[in-house]
Amino acid sequence: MRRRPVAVVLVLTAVVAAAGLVYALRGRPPEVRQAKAGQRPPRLQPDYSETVFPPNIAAPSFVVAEEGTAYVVEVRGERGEAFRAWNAGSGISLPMGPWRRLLSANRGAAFEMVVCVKGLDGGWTRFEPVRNRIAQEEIDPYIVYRRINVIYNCYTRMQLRQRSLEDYDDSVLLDNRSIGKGCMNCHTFCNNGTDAMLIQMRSARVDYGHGMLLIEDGKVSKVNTRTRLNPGLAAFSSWHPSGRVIAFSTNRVRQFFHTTRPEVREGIDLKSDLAVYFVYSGEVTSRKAISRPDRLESWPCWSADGKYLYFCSSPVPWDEVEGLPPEHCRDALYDLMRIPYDVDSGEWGEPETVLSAREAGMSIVQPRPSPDGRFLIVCMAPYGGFPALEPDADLYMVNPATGEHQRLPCNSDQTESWHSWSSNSRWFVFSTKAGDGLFLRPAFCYIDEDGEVSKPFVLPQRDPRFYETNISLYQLPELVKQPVPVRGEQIAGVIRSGEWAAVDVPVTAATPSAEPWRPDP
Amino acid sequence: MLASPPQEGEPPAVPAVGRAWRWLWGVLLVAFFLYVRLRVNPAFVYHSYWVQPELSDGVPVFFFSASFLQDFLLRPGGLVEFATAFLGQYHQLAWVGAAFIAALAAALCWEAFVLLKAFGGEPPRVLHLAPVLPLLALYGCYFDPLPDVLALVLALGCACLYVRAGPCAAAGRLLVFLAMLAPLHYAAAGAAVVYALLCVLFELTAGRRRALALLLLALGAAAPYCLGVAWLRVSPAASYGGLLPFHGLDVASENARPLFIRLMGVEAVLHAFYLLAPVYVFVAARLGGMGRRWRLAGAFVLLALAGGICGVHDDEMKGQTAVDYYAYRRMWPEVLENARKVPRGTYGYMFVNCAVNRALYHMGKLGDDMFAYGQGPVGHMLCPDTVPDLRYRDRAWVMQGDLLADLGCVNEAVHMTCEAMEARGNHPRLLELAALCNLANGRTEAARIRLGAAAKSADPVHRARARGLLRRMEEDPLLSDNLQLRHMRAMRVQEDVAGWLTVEQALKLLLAQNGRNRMAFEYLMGFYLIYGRLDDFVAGLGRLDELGYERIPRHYEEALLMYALRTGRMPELGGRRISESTARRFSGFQLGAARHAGRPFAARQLALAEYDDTYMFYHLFLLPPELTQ
Repeated sequence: MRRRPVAVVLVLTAVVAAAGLVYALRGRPPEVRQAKAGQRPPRLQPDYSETVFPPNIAAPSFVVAEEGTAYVVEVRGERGEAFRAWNAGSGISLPMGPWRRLLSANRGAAFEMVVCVKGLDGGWTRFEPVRNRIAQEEIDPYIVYRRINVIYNCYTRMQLRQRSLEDYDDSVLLDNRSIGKGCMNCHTFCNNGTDAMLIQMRSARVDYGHGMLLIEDGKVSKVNTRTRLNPGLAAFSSWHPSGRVIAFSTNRVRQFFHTTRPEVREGIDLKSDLAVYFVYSGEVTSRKAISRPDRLESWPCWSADGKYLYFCSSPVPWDEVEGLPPEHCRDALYDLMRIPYDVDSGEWGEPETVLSAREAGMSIVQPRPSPDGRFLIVCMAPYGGFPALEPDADLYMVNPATGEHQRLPCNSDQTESWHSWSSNSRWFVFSTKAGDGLFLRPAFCYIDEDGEVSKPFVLPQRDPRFYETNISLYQLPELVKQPVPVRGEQIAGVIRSGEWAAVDVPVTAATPSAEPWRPDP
Repeated sequence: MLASPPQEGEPPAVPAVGRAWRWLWGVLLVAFFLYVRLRVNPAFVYHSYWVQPELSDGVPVFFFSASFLQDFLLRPGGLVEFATAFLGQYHQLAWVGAAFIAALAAALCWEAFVLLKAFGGEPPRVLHLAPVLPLLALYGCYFDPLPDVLALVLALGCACLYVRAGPCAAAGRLLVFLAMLAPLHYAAAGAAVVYALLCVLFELTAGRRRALALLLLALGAAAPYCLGVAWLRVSPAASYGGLLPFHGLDVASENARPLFIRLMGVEAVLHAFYLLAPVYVFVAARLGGMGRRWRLAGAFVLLALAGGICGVHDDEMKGQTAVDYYAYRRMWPEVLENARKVPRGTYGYMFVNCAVNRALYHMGKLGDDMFAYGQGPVGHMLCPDTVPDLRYRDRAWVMQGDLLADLGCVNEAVHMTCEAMEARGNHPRLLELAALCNLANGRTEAARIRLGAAAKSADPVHRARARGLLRRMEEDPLLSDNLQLRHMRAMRVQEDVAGWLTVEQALKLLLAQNGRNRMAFEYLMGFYLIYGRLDDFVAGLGRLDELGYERIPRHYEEALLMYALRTGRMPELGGRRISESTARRFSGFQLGAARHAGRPFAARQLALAEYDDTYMFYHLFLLPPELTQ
């Protein structure tokens, strides 16, 4: 019996010693001796080179795509201490503490990563430094996005999630399993804040109704925006900067499939119109100018000052829809339009074309002006209104005053779409299928005072090989300034219980002769 | 040596269990293990997730990644679900799965033994074996109750620790109770309620501490609310009812609810046993114990029940599962062998029909033998324009992915596989097929990512395959030596057509673009025969030369003879002849049909049963009338 305590002590000592040995070995990087100079920078996957990082971004992890048996990366800025990361494998995770110190010491300055690889012959190669820059301006610290699979018709697994950009925290806001596998199709925030946001929701397996979830100051309410005269469900939406009005589109979307095209799916709007919802009075209204029966209007977005509603509009190119795709569907080319609006008086002006599809030579969708009003980025594709399913969709910068436009350098040969601005207008996030052409990932770009756009970088992950195995899509990324104050059961419980608030209909497009709605003084 | 009498404060001595009993229990456990392995087959239990999609939310998958774990950490019961997602994978290795199920049964019996002994004061001889029966019944129905049973095992384990905590003060017992309650609820959700109830019952009966029992009851009732609803913010139903019978009722689709409720009823019996049996043995002990006769009677009842449960083993579901299992593994003779065990006209036969046709094609016998098996317009290809009901679609998507990939409809195969993934989860089986389709389309990077995800799974069958494919892709990114891929590339549609194609349009498109697509040809001919469209069938026969048929397949000959009989002319057969045996059987059938012409339909069918493997028989008796209109 006396031997037992001795044995326990011995085992514990051995465990502590082993842990210490592991730590000690781990704590020292391998010595790089007599490294020969590589004649080029190393290949990194994802590519974190020649780009600009926000000073509040999580440390990037990457794979050094060079053959070797040991890898050492030294990161050094113009100011502050350099630090090293190393691994026997090619996956490198930069440590968060030194990375943050590097960012804070080098705001507005450059830094470089020197990669040394021990080859199969035992000799080291020191590659040319990978150079990057750290911006002065921070990025909004969260993205809210929808995580889904590559879906066709059926959807059963969908999560609205929030990812912190300052670290790797990625949490669920709403899981559709808690709402009968319904759909959360768009989430929209007022001025990049989370005090006022909305989620469009559709029931699926269990009938909890369909409509818009308004989340204001942590309180969730359900609004059914459908009316007899405006029967479509709200889809793409935009908060007026005042927070008083929400513009939304109603879309009758259909999907069909290609037999050989690499992107199998294609979406089409058979009918779409715009309307607005008044948050305080709970009314819905529209104007003939934004809901013409002979045109497809979609993608509403308020200008930064709230004086214009940007939207996209295409003539309906078919007479009647018999089967899918309808005839001439490739003639659905959307113009970029805007219509003046006075939020105080509720007065609408006359719509004007900012950039026509004919001039651009492409269909223009997803207009998003920067919060400072200086820039307007749109997505252009050869035709149609769903660029996420178009391999040739790209982001363009448009001058709203002149209609001049230019393709942004952040585009790849695959789909780029759905961009969202940081509240300081210095950063934007967008969805890209660069590389594989299938899986949407969030990428970030810096835009300087002169409108120069940096090379994009993909969202940093803790696991260097994350993107090599991740089959979920980061869909509809939206930059926000704070975490969302409600989540999970708080939202799901409201969806599952209670009635949807019906809206009043003072005037609709179906009664165009009536005067536009005016708010109470 | 004589045992000393119990001292004051010590529990009374418990009579020991004889060695013979222990041997008997061991033998029963081995018998259970062999029964599970040889009769049930755990690999089929796992595969039944594909065959009975309406009973579950998906096929269990497990990935070695932090994000996969994270999804389980934020809800009560997540840990048990995480563990079962991992352990469940090994059901695919039949012997390992059987050993695991036997271990589970042993744990349930041992826990019952401890509890019954603690409540009744003497060790049970037979009663503690009763939990094996509902377990057998569940596995015999090809329903995997692993998450709920593992949660129950955990809860019972905690209860065993509680009742064996020894004589200590109420405060001490309260601490023991609380120390296990919170972690147990986090790990096993509603199963903690079973634990709390058992502790309460113990204190009310053998423990004789009523005040403590009431306190435990209050704490047991409050814990799921505090820990689950208030802290982890899950719904009350998930916190109180998670991992208990009926908790997944919302998952089961409406048509499957009666079956699901029956299965959950069996699970409820298992749970109820642990609450009722201890009270029963306590009361029996107070009334003077059970006599030898009663024990023997109990043993006989259990044996009879065991025999009954073995008798209700669901052979039809086993047959369906086996067909699907072997079809996925391309073991065609086994598909046909098992297909004969599934009665025609049952709910799942259309899927058997689809697998049989695929097996027959790959064995070069589709045109010869397809009508020797049940045929229907739905089962032939399970396509969206023919599958009659949305509730069948989850299973149809999975099978269509494989079938369409064989046919060369690569994009449509990806489509169906992605639909299947949405319905049944990102299973490595589906990821692998989608990756192969991506490779056939030249999307190497997308394929690499999908295979990378499959390689991160714990699936003992598919992980190694995915890793092997990834290794080969390092040297040959397009896997040009992969036979399945070579076939897909050779057969795939070349011209882009947008829209929704019907079965006929898709098959015609395949043939129009690649006249050597023999599978498309045979499926199109099969389609015409099933629909009784003999004109279209005859028009399509012109491709026999192009496809290099040396002889005319038997069913084609039968259809040609019927066509000739109806129109009075035999089409040009390119020098081929109708075989003598077919001509003879056709004549025999004609004679028989004429002889029994005046008899009722069923009687005629019976009289001509010797021809039930011919197209004539199908055309005359089985062709649905609505198809001929």
